[in-house]
Formats: sequence, C-alpha cells, structure tokens
Amino acid sequence: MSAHEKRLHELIDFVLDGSCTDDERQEFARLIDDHPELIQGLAEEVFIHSLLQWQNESITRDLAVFGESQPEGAACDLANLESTTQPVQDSRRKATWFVAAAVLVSGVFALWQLGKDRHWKATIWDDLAVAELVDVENVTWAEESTALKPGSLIVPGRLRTEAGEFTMRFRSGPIVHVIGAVSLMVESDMLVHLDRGQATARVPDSLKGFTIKTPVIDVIDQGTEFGVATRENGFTDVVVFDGKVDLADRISNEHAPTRLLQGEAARIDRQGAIQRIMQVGRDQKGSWWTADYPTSGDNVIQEVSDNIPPSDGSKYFCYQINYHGLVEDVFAYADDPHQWNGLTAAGLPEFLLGADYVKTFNDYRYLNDFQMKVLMSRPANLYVFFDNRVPAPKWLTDQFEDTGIDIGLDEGPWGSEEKALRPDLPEFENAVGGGQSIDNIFSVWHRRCIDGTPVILGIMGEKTQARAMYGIAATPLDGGPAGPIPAPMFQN
Amino acid sequence: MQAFSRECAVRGIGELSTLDRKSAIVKSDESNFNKPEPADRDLASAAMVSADVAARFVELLTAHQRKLHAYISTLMLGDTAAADVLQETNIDLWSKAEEFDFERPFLPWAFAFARQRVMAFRKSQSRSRLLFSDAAMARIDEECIRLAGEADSRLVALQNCLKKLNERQSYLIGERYNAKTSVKLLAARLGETAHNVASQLHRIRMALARCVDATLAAEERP
Repeated sequence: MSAHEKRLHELIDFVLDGSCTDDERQEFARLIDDHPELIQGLAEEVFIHSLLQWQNESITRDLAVFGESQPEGAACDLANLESTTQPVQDSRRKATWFVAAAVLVSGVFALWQLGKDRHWKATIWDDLAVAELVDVENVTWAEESTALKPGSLIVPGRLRTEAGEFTMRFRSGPIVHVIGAVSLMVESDMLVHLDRGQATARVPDSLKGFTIKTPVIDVIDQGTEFGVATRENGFTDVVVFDGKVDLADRISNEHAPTRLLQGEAARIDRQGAIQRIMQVGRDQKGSWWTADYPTSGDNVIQEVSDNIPPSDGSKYFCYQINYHGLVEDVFAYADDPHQWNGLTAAGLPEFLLGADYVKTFNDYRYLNDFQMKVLMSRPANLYVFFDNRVPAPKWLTDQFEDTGIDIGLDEGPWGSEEKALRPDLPEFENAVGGGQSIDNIFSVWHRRCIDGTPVILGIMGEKTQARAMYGIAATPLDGGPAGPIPAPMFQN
Repeated sequence: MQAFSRECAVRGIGELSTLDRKSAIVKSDESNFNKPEPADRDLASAAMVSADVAARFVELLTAHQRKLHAYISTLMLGDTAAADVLQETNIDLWSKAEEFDFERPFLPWAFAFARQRVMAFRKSQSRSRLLFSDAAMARIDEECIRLAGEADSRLVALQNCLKKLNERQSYLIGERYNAKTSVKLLAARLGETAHNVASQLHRIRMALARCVDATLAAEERP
C-alpha cells in the first residue's frame, strides 16, 4: 500500500463522520485530485458506508413522519412489522414511502382544489416538522444544523451550536431546553440523539417513551422532567427532577433498564457502568444544571455529601442545590412534593429570600446513622430548618442557634403507590403563597461559617415520632444574596 | 429569554436551507454534468400533475429512493447533509413529474436532478466542504452511477455479508452505524487511538465491499 493510500484510509472516517479539521479536509481533497486511481476504491467504500447508513434507517426518518398521520390501525400495523425480519422491514420501508408519497399527492391535489396561495415547500416543512423552536437566546447555528427550517420549524436532522440556549416544543408534547455547546440529532418527535452538551426535558405525564440517546445510554422517559448531559470525556450524566426515567445500557444490552426516580442522578461511563452523582446545582429558573462544582464564586453552598453507602438503597440519591433559589412555594425535598412557605401571607423571612438551598431527602428522616457534610464556597450564614415536632438534637444545639423565627412546610400529595398501599393516609394538596396549607412548623437555626471548614449535620433524632427531614439554606455572610450565577461553560 | 428572533429565522433560511435559494442552483459552469433545467417548485406547477401520472410517478419515486440516496450520499462522500439533499431532490423530481417520459428509464433522469442538487450544495458550502477538481468529481460521479444502479441488490448482499463479520467487527460496525458513535469517541471507549479504529473500520468496509461484489458475481453465474 502506498503512503498516500494509507493516508487516505486514515482520513476517510474523519471525513465521513464530519470530525476532520479544515486542514485534513483539504489534504483529503488533494489526495483524490492527485491520485485519481484511488477514486474507485474510495467510491466503493463510501457506497458501503451509505448502505450501512440506510440499513440503520437514519435516512428514511425524514419522510417516515408522513406515515404517522395515518389512521391508528395502520400505524399499529407498521409498528408491528418493524419488529420482525429484514424482508418485512423492507416492506415497511416501501410501505412508509408509499404512504409518504400518497400523502404528498393527496396534499398537493387538496391544495390545488382549494386554490390556496401557499407555497408548497412551506407545507412540506410543516408536514415534516417534529418540533418548533419556542425560545432562542444568543445562539449561532453551525452550518451542519440541517434540522432548522424556516418558520422556526425543526425537521429530523442535526442541530449544532457552540453557545447560547434554546427551547424546542416537540409535537408529541415534550419541551426540551438545550444549553451551551451542543450537537444533537433530532430523529423524530420521540427520539433525540445527544452527541454533545446538555438538554433538559419536561414530558407530559400522559406521554411515555420519549427518549434521549447518548453514545453510552438511552434515557427513556416514563413521565417526568429530566436532564441529560453528554460530557466531553464520553461520560453521560442523567438527573431526574420529577417522575422517573429508564436507563437502557447501550454498551452491553445485557441488563434490564435501570430505573431512576425523582431526586436521583447517575453518571454512566464509557463502559456503561453507572455511578451515583452526589449533587447537582441548578439555577433559579431551572434553565441549567451542573454535576460539577461551580467555579464562579457567586454561589454560597459549594458541596454537600452524606455517608450513606450505596447498598443502603440510596444508590442514586442526588442532592439538588438551588442557587439563589429559596422563595415562596419552592419544593423542599428532592424526593417529596412538599414546599417551604412563610407562616403568614407575608411569606418567608426576608433574610432567607434568594438564599442557596439544598433539596434534601425526606426519606432520610428516620435514619439512625446519618451524617451530612456541607461545605461553603465563601463566608456564609448557614441555616437549618428543623421540625418542631422533634427535640433538637445535640449536633444542632452545639453548632447552631435558634433564631426564634419559624417557617412552614406545606405537604404535597402522597405518591400513588403509597396511597394504594395505605388508603387511610390523609389527603394533602399544595397551596400557593405564604400562610396557606401549612402542615408543619420548622424552626430556623443559624450559624456563621467563617472559614472553609465543612459543617457536619446529623440525624433527626432517635425516636420515631412523625417528622419531616430538615432543610438547609445559606446566604453570604457579608450581605444579601449575590447576583445571578452565570451558566457553566458545559465543556466538562 | 427572548422569543425566537426574526434575525435567527432569517439566518435559518439563508444559511441552512438551499430550498429557497434558486441562485444557488448551478447554472452551466460544470461541463461534465448533464443538467436539467432548474426546478420550479411552485404549487401550481406541481398541481398540474394528473392523478394517473401522479400515481405512476409515486411508484417510481418510491421504488428508487434507496438508489437515489446511495448515489447522493456517495457523491457527497458520506456528508450528513445527504438526507437533506435527497429530500430536496425529491421535491425537484415531484415538481417536474409531468415532464417525465415514462417510456424512458427513471434513474438517469433522477440522477441528473440529484447531481444538480449535490453541486448546488457543494457550491453553497464551499468554504468548509470537500473541494475536488471537476475531473475528480466527474470520476466519482461515474462510480456512483455504476454502484447506485445496483443499490437494491447490493443492500441485500450486504445484509448477508454482515452476518459473516466476527464479533469484534460486528461491534465496531454496530457502534459506528447503529449507535452512531463517532470514531473518536469509539476510540476513547476502547482505549485505542482514533487512527487505529478508523483503520479497522476502513478494512471492514472494504471487506464488505469485496463480499458484496463476490456475492453479486456468484448470483450472475448460471
């Protein structure tokens, strides 16, 4: 094999997957121009590449959406066919194309008959669209962004940006917010490949199965709000803010899906191994989150962790630090729908408003060997909200002072599974605003944190009276809450 | 957060879609290529297609999608925008359906539209895309026409050839084409260099190409 042939073989995959540099691209073109004898072999190899792409149905996606407008029965038939043998898949492709073309024909004739003065291509994109852009901020689309079409429509194809953020509303219902340097392939209104960057999806309860695929894992929604980040090192972070998701292993395909519930988060490495993420930080608006420790210095709480071994059932429990997020009606726990409120209509005490706060786990309220470590990023006022039904434990009285100020916990509804097991449980509903639907009173305890020494918090108490887990909040020691925290670079 | 701005929408049209840009359609400066007239996608034109012609045309268009894609994708050397170019070619073809002579073969006629679309795409993306000489492009086009004409039988042969890959080869092809993992990420996962993985993928594709050729040759023998 000649040197230029060898070099061509080295470059071809980077050309095919679009990851080559400008210099490599030019070198590749020069090699072809200077050595036309290589063209036949090159064409044969690229042809195989094209057939492999076709075989994996990455091409028919653009027109498969036509088929989705068919009557329900027809759609089911096609779906059933897909799971059988290859010849049937071919039939399905042809059937899909026939449907696509037939719809095309009927659409054109309908328009002609109605005499509408609409441009055909606009109708085509509208028919093909699987989502719409509903918000865009500081985004410059890369030229590979083939999914973006006039009218803010998104058709199956790629979206790539180097910065900014945008939100897509899929026609099947999910709303997906994307931030930072991102490369993703929109496959359909139920499937997105996230090759790089961070996406947070809110999916209607009625919809199941919306999927975000990364190179190492399929994240399959089961009715939820969840975030997925594909990191530069090939790892994937997944966090569930509400509801639940299934993680389907893409590496071995040997295991049943791993289910992550509300308040859980996991990092999947390149071999498909799943590990707990101890904490994620989130901005007040919920537009970004990070599993890394902030470096901006504007946050107050830097790090939280606990001593619970994974074998104790807390395998993927993840604390959520909400930067500057403490306001009326915020959710108090990562795992339960209870809310912090002021005791009166005046709301929460002013000194707490805009504080960083941690969504702890209400499930931990009866643990007897629990220990939690909190680390500040700067001198801070650290607050613990402690349930008045429980005598203050020694770790609290030794390190904190009771401010004499109380706040309330508005308990949300029981989960459907708990309610099914115990129909006798009282009904709870969240109300809106201070002083509304207060179910339990919490004392606000305070201490100053001058240096970077971690603060160790302990158990709620050794007795088993009714209780709710304590909350944690912090403000800067030298004044009010800091300004908005800029989103991380998401380069990881 | 601001709403999707008019500026962004305009950029979306101008930079990302060649559909609106009739000026991007190559006129007559590539003498090696036989080009039809630029397609006019006005609704009125498309709507003039009779029901009978439409039905027959739909059948042809449907039956030749695989070949058209193979042709476009190969001519574009695997560029991910091939699916978009196929889509635009389909629209061109449909808008000219009433001009198609059903007594003549469909594929050469369709390839001319596809070629025109590929050339327009190349021109609009010239800064960051592969730029071959016209001579090299014409040679690649010849190969594409030869291969794409047999796309259906080659795909069937390929499916059998894929079954002959060993476990390692199947894994690499599955990751690259089913999971759509980039070569660099695949290399990082395997703890190998990207060049090493690229080289393995190259060898597998060439082996598949030889297997496909051998299968077709065997089928042609009496």
